[in-house]
Amino acid sequence: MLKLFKRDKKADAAPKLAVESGADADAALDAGAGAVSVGEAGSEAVQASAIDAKAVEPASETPAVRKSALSGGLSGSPSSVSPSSADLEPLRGLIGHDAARDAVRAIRRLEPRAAIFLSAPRSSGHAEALRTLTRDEAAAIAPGDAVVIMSRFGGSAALDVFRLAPAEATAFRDGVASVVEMLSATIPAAFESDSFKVARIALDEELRSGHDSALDALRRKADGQNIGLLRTTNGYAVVPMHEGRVVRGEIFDALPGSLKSDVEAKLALFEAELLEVLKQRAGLQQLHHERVKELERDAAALSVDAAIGTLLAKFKSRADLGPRLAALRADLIENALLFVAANRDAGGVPRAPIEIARDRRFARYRVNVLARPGGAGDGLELPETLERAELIGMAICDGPGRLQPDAVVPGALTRPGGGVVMIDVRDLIGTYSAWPLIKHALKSARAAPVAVGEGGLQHSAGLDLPVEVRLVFVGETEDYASWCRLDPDVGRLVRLIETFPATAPSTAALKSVIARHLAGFASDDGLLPFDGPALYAVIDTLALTCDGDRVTSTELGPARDLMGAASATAQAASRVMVLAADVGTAQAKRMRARQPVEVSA
Amino acid sequence: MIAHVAEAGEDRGRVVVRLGSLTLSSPAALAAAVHVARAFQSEIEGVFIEDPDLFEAAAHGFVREVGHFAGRARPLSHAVVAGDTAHLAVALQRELANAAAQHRVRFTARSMRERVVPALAQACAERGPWNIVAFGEPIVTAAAAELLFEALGHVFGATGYLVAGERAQWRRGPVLVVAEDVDRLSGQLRVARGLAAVERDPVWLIPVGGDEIGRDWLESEIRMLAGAASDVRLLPALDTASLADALAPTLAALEPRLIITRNGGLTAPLSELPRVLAALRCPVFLTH
Repeated sequence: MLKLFKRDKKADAAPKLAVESGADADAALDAGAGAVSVGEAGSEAVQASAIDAKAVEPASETPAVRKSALSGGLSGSPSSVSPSSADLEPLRGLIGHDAARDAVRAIRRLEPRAAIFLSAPRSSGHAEALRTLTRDEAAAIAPGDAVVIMSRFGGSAALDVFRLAPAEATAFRDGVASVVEMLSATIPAAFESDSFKVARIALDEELRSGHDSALDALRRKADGQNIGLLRTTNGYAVVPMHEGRVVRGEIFDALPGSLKSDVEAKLALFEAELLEVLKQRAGLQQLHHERVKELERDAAALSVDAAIGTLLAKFKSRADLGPRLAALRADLIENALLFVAANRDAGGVPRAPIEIARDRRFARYRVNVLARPGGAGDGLELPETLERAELIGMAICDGPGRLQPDAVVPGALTRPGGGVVMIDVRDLIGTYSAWPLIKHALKSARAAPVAVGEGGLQHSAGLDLPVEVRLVFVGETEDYASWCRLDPDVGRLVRLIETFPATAPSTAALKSVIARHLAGFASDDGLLPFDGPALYAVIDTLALTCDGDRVTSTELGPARDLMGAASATAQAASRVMVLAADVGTAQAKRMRARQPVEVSA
Repeated sequence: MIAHVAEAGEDRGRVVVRLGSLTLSSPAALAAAVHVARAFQSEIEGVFIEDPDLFEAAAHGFVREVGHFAGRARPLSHAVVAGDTAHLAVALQRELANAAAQHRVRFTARSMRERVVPALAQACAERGPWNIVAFGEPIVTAAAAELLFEALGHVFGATGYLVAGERAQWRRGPVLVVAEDVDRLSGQLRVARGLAAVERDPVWLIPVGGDEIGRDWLESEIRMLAGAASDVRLLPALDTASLADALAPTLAALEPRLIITRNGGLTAPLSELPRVLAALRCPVFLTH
């Protein structure tokens, strides 16, 4: 037999952790503490903030009502004079909202590339409240300059990473793209112009005539001495000639010995001269190559200067962009033939400039502004996946070779320059392969935060992305503890801040606050009113013992469910008010429902 | 001027392709030769002409070969020359055979050890008077141009010559007749129409005259002769005829498949032939 138990997480004892006021939490963060822990003062803050929280209280609430609620009979024991739920001014929202807001305010003071863990009960209400608070704090952080990535050029394989104001960054990226698109039309046109072709033909002819003239001169000289240069498959043969024909073997053999020696000496002499002429060809070829390159550079420079001139004028006030544009110009001129080669496809059909500009061969000229397009840019990023550690940027390199600017992807970031990335710790633990990369990014002083893809490690290891990312992990306190057990580095790298405490010391004030929340549930859910002892009975179900101390759970979801059941019980008994007995009956039913279920194997 | 080649099986001529100048073949020249054979429903013979002097030289024990890249001389033996020549002949003939087979043109191959012009004269004389000689290698040197000039004077069985420069390409385009006189015009147009019909290319005609008066007269005469023909596009006469260097780029800009012109004329003066062919970038059909 296999026994399965329905487990109530709230029944587990939670670690004793509460929250300090906002200022104290900041001080603790500055001190680099692994966790922010407090005692009595924290619980008082929870009570005070809960009572004073205007945001969560009805606008119509008056001090008199508040006072009556606090001075009621819910001071520790049920009483016949304690107010019923109908008498209490209802409270809505979450217990400890203001304290949580103060705690979350610490995000503003986080250094870029820092990480904190915000603990809160795992309920949809708390999670939503935490997101809202975090979004407010993230929006309050001034947007940084955009991170711009472009090739360094000049033979360096490294990428150039710098920062520009977001609008400037976009204009710079689009400007460079326009230059490349323009050149994809104008450079091929320049190279296919009649004037360029004529100049190129003239250079080729110069080379050819240089070859031919040296060889022809040698041939004429040889002719004058009855020596011929015959073309062979591999070169030339130097042979004795007579009247335009090669001297036949038998005739040559019949010559006097001295004459034969003389001819052979001449042959040797011309062989040496021929060797020299052939050697000079390499020099001529080199000279021709240099002159052709110079011609191509001149032709390309006209187009490049015309295209890049607008961009230079636009950014002339940015002294740091001048050298970068100069390097870009030099590289475009040096590699102008790329544009000529890309002008037609494999079938010789001309390609459109926009199609050419998208050619992978021009990836080196792309400027990448590190922000995900189409994002809201409010500073808070909620990554949809952690599968590839694309939280804070990743360099993807398909294989060996130069890492191109557009290979660096922004990950979850939508706001140029950085933002706050919020991750549910259970999602992280579920795809734990992402954590080592994120940890590397947090620990590395220089290369972070960038995660690398397959094959890209060696190329992007030195890439410094100055993205101002602050990581916020959310979960319950015990999740943090589990995570610390998994990786001891967590306590050092990720500081714990408790926002919405799961429990608080069982004080009369807390019970009064909880009673008003319960009154709100009764009103909102259309339940029968609860008399004082019934309310007390419900509150009593939230009581826990933690390390020998009596505490009360601040997660009111189970209590709300219990109130619904108790109200139904009272209605079934035709009562007009819920009594403590009805709460007891409903509680007993719930307990019975938690009995072990037997499952046949 | 009668530029003609006998049909296959007629045994009165064919397209004779000269191979063996020890340079690489011109694919454009070979393709043009095959195209002419298709147009006239003729056949092709690849004639690899070995240099007899080279074999004579190899017979001497003391003759050495200076290689292009070796940087030193090596003894030249008969075996070396024979082996290298045979290998080159096979390679060049195969290239031409492939081009012919692509269009189902009958192809034969032979080797001759003779001086070039006598060899061509012999090859043409063997099988009737209706031959067209194609030079399979690009005409890039003065020596090659001289060979062509010599052939024009001594090969009697050839009615036309196909030549190409180093940068010649074989591509779709009009068959362009460059008319320098009225006498040859009808023959040139007939050849042009035949060549254009193979792949339904257009025929373009461009008059080229020496001076203004002559050019005007020529243009009017040509308009009378050819203007009524709907299949021929008559282009404005060129006035740069006195300079072949200037004329060639203008003609090249029209991107013709093939140019038909008379040999030794303004378009293709023999003294400037390598330079002009380099600028034209297409094969040229030279008529008498």
